[in-house]
Amino acid sequence: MKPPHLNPLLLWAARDVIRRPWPALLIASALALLLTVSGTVLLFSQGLSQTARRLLAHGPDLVVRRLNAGGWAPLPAAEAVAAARQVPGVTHAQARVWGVAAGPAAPLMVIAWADAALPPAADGKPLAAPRPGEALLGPGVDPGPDPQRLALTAAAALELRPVGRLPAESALLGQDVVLVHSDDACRLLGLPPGEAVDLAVDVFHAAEAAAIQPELAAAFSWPVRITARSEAVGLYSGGLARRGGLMLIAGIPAVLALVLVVAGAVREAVGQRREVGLLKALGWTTGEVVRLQVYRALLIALPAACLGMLAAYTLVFRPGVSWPGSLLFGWRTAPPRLYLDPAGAFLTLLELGALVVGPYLAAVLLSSLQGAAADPQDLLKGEGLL
Amino acid sequence: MDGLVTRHLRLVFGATPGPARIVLQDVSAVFSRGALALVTGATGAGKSSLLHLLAGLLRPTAGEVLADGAPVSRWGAAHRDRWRRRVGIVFQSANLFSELSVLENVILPLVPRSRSLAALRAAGREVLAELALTDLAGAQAGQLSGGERQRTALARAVVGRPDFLMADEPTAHQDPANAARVLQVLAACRARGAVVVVAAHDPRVIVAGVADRHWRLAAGRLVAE
Repeated sequence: MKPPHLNPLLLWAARDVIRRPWPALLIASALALLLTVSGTVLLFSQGLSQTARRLLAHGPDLVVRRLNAGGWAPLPAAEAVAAARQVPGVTHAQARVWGVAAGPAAPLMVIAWADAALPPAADGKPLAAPRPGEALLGPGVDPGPDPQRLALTAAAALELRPVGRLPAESALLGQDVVLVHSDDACRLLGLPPGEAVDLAVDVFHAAEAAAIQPELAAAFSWPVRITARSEAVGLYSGGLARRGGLMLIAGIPAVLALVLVVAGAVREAVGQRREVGLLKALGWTTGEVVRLQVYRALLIALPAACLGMLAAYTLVFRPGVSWPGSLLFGWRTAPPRLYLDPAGAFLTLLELGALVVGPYLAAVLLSSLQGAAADPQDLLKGEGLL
Repeated sequence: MDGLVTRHLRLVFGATPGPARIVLQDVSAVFSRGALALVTGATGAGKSSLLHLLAGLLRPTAGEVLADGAPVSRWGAAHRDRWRRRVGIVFQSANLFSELSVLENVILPLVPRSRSLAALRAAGREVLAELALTDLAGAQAGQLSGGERQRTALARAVVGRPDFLMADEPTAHQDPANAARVLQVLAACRARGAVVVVAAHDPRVIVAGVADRHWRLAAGRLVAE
């Protein structure tokens, strides 16, 4: 088989990298590290925001809560559902019971779960809604020393028997969630029978959710506060944006590192006056010297960039990644294992790669152009070779 | 006119800020194709500077260098870059890339314009064989003796079959057998029509009788012997 044809100048550039491995390794490491750090920050912020949006899209269009002088108040479930269903445009209304209870290791979110479908359990078996005395645990819930018993305390103390665990993929929302029967939830949270914490409402057209709100509010005989899904998404995105902004502060050292890499590239090119002068004395033209330097820079930068981008992608989108939970969200117990949505990550990485590799290549191109365009007389005489 | 011609060449170093040193003055000579010119003179007489001027590495302070009738010394840097492809040069101190192998040093002038590295290596090995350097092809240039370095530099200068060959002390540090090989390579260049200018102290070059013309540099002036 005929060996592939490779440009000798490209091969020579590779030889040149091997000839002086340490400066090349230093620049490659700096570029790879720079892309890993900045790529991780950007991809994490983007992936989290995207995943949260996707998950919230499955939530109810509107959430109704009853108000009283002290703040929130329980609402009568059957009466509230009936009132909501009378409003034109409402397709579904469901009373919900949920609240926070103290668990064996940390506070837990307790949710009454009735007949809605559940994803398969962590071990792949189908999950059924919990019966009285049973509990389905979120991926991060620690049942304490006895895995057959979960002690919860809120308005009342309750002991439940864990019967399954939600899949790890649900960790972003369900990490510290305990699903229980509605009777157990009411007893634990101190709600009288037949009362609920809020009402989840779906409407025929999501776009009409805002228009329906006044009519829906008027349907109840007590004051309510209605929250639309778009508000929840905005609130969530706002929080993520603030967190992303804080994380971007980590980008300042990255920019400084890029400046140092560029300065190093310029310094290296300037330090090669003798070699450039000799090459020109041997018949190399300015263009050929510049091509050699640019090929060399590409051979250093491209693998480094690929490595940095791959590392950033893996750090953020590896299924079940857990470092952000403990590092960024201060999770006190087992951090949630995240399954973030990688849509759009490739484009983001390409843009970031161009932003990092571009200035380096430009610095190499300009400094080598400046050096190689000089006359051999100026290059070699200064080095004492003429 | 074919070959290299110098007209009233003058080269002055260090005009500012220190005192100026006149290296060459009023050097007019013709170096014909197919002829080997020998330039001798005392140390510091300006032999190397003359070779660098002829090779287009230095610009004259006054006067001009014509190559095949073209005023190369007045050309811009880019034009002279392209013209230097036709020039082979052996520096007095060899100026090899010490981290590269002997073969890599030899093929270096041809790398940018070659289509195949294998063809380059074959050409390099051929020249190395002529100078009895085949066994050292893979050795690092930094580990060579003075004579081996100078022969490697000559191999590098002739591998591209240049039209103009400038060799500064090519027989320095050579034993008689290798000095003969060096002279043979220079004679081969002359035989295929190249302009060959050799600066040398070595009496063996004079005695060997390979030179078609002998010039002597004294007090910056070139005098025919």
